[in-house]
Amino acid sequence: MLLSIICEFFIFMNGAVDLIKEIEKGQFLLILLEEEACMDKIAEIAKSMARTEKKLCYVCLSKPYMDVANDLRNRGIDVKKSHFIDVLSSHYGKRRPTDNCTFLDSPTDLADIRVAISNAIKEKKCSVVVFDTISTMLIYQETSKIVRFTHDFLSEERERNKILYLVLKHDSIPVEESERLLSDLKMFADRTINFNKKSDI
Amino acid sequence: MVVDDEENLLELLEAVLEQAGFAVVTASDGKECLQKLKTVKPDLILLDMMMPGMSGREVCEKIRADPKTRDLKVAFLTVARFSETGKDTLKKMKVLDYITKPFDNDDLVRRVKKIVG
Repeated sequence: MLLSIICEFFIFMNGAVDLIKEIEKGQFLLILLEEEACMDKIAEIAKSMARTEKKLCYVCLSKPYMDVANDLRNRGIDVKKSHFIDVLSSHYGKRRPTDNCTFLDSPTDLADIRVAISNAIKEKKCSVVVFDTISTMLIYQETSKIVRFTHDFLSEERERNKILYLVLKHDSIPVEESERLLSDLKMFADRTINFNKKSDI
Repeated sequence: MVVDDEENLLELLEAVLEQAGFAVVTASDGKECLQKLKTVKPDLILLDMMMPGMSGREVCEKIRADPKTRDLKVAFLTVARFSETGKDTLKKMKVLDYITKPFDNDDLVRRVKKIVG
């Protein structure tokens, strides 16, 4: 296991981990990132998706849509090519309606999030779903509920050959809770890619 | 021993297995399971994978970490579809089988008999 992670890390350092290729395989990936690397990696994915004409569904769990969209715009990415699900802005009363974002009332309603993603896949034709980040859900939900949510989501979407992609990082969550979540999610994940230099997972 | 947080399912499992001739101890979560294992040594633990509190994976790890329980036979009850990585983890935890929910009663009994021997 450790050898595998070291290998992955060095492959990454050589620029050889082709995230897009992994996503193309239609797998459920767990990506471990440091906070500062998170937006770079998401921008990289968004750029590549734009080239392949695939549409990204970005679930904003850590930052509101406006912040994420501004960040991506500053990196030269056309945010109109992605669909966003924002669970934070309404909660904090900072919602500004836009065509490419679904605003949900609360970050705690997993059923609502599930329906919004389903609609993004069906109606907006999104084929890649990015959770930024699944760890952040631990602020609102207990581990077992997130695992069940993920499992139910995967059962439905993987059957339809939809491509899934989850981002997981540790920084703002107690390490123990994050490790528990990660260990359970790994039971369903096709691959875990570790970009987190500090982690020994 | 059957461990599941769904009360109705737990009752059903108990009834099906008792009808097949097994003595059944039940637990509604991982904590209760570990507590009961201090006094009971079952021939098999049927463990639900997704439970509130401790997951089946965590309970199994604790069973394996305790010298008094590490050799007990464990099988998972699950609605989960495990990935290849997940199946490898099950092997490492010496999980003998995983029975998917919903299950066929006859199939369940057959598989339990096969494991218990």
